Amino acid sequence: MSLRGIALSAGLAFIAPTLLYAADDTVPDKGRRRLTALFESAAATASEGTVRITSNKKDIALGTIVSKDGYILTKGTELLAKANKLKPSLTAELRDGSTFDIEVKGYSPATDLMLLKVDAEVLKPVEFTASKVIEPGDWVAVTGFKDRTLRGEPNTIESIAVGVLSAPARNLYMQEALVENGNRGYLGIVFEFSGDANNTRIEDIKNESAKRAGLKKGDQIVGVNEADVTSRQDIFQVMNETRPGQLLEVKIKRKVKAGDDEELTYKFNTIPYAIMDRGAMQNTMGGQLSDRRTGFPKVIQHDTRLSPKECGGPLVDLEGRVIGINIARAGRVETWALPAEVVAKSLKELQDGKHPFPKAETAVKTSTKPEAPKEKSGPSDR
Amino acid sequence: MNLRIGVIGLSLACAGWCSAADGPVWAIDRATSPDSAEELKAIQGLVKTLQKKAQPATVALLLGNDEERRSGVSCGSGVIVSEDGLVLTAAHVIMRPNEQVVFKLANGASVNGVTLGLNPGTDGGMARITDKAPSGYPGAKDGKWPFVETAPSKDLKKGQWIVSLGHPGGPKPDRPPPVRVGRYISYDKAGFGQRNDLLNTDATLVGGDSGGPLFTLDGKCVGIHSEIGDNLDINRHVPMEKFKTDWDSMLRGNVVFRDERERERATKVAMNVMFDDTVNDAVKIEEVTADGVADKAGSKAGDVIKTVNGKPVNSPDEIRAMLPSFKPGDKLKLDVQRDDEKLTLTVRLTARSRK
Repeated sequence: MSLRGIALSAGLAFIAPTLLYAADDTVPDKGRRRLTALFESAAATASEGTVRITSNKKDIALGTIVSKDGYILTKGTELLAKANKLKPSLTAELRDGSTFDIEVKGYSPATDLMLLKVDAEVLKPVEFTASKVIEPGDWVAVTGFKDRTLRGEPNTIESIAVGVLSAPARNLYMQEALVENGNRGYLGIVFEFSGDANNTRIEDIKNESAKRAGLKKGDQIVGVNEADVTSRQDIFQVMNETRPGQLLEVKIKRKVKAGDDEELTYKFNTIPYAIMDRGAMQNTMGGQLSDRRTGFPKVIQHDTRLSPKECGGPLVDLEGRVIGINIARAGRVETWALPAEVVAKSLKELQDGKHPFPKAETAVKTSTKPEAPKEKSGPSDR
Repeated sequence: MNLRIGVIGLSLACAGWCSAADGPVWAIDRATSPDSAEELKAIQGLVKTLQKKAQPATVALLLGNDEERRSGVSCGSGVIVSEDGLVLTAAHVIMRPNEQVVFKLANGASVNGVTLGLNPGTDGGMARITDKAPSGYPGAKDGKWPFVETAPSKDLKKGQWIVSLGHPGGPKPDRPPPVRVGRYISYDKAGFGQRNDLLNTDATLVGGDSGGPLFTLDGKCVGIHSEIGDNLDINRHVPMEKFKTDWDSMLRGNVVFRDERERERATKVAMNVMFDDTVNDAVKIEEVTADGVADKAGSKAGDVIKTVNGKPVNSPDEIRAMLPSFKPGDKLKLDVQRDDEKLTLTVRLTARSRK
């Protein structure tokens, strides 16, 4: 069936933000803390195998130790300042507090796994178990760190978040299968539907800022910022690098009664989510989501509450088995992990040198670039 | 909030009363957290048993486009509560009675159905699957649907463990309704910030989950998802008691209103008749407006309406309760008793005129 313009928030309305949940010392808060204490022994090995990745001393991700001689896997996009360029001063800190410089050995854009090497021996690697050993409803735990930056103290790996497996390993489809920056800016424009992916003509403008600037239905977009665009994929590639609220300069062609098309330029701001996807707004209610939170080969879903910088570490079950690596805070209800099977395959490719980093600059449309959105059966803003 | 802390002292000892053979039992209404790995496992066991039964009964609802729904297909969730396919959902998911619905099952298959009544005040709503359960569908038997039992929410204790199912973000291929586990927090009465009584739990929900089921650990549905707030701990559900109050009315496809004013405001059509309100056990027409739609249909003063579109009606208020479900131009098929005669009249509803 057609998922044309899926209006996801036939889901939920939301209450006025001024109605705050009163902080409460009693159960369930206290109860949750006791719950995580019960996981200490199950998560012990996974804790030993978890590292903190920092950039200029700020935590940006967790990492999973995968070999005794210093190989670590982490969530690559958190270490990238932009495609092919790393954030500055990257360091790995072990549980015992020792720190190491990081060398990047490879990056797989398909899984978002980055292989790091530190100059250390006697590390305690995790061992992976196939994710099918657990089912929806089974407890899972995530090794994490205690964020003490507000107190001016060093952060430490010592704490754990707990949840349940919500859905077993699955493939992703449609929007969820796109490799893109989920926190990018959007045009807020509905394009004409046609079988032609090169059609950049405007059908409807939902972005108020664009309307006020003077953009009109029927305008054909030919440029966004410095880039000339001739297709929706071109537009998507530019938009993927923008942020919400960013000012854009958009060049359009407009038909005039007699003679040639007019070429005009308008300036307006991007909006935070695709206008057809009202559920996307609700997804951000309650915490930040990972920039790269779609486009993985397979994911397992759990309801543990993680922040984006707490991804990259191991996911463990009540028996202490490591069944995956957390790869994204994907929504209000979900954290995603790459199942052990996917991690193992990607790790082998990385170790075999199949995904060198940085990627050679020569190819223009390489696999490190975001994939083109598939032409869907309806107008869309992607 | 995150579930964080360092070690504060493990207790792995089993309570004295549990035997090595059966392990500790987790009381369904226990409102504290587990004290041992065994108790953790007990909760886990209950959750998994629950989800195996409840997942096949949790459906997604897909409703078509119309002006009120803005653009596109509208998605929500629901839960099957009877073997003949009665579904509980949220009022704001179905919006109106008598609309076509496509239900998506936990295994991705689609079946057809129709919306029934709703109460916009409580946010409760009903729908019905009209297709038979496919053979081989988990829990299905001879075309009958797997279903869950309902229970009142009033005895829920703060801290009691609950489970939520639904289709966050709409139904997704290869993804059965995801399970979320949390704790019951409070019963919030209508007031500032919300128009109706709602349960609050900390199992997170998001758009698409509306209409889905909230369970206690014994698999009984005590609420239906309705709203979220900015904070991850604000997840709200229609208490099951609200459904029970309106059950018969919703089953008949009526919209239940808080009061007369709300009902009148929601009524967009007119029949151009006056009912005899002194008669309360029959629908007797007192006056037919000349050249009105009832007049054009052949209705006369004194007619007693027995059924409307096949549904028996026993009082003028029952007809009034049905009218908000219709749009101008919709036809009403009336079985009418005129003295000794039985007649069938078709009235084409007109738009209600505002004074």
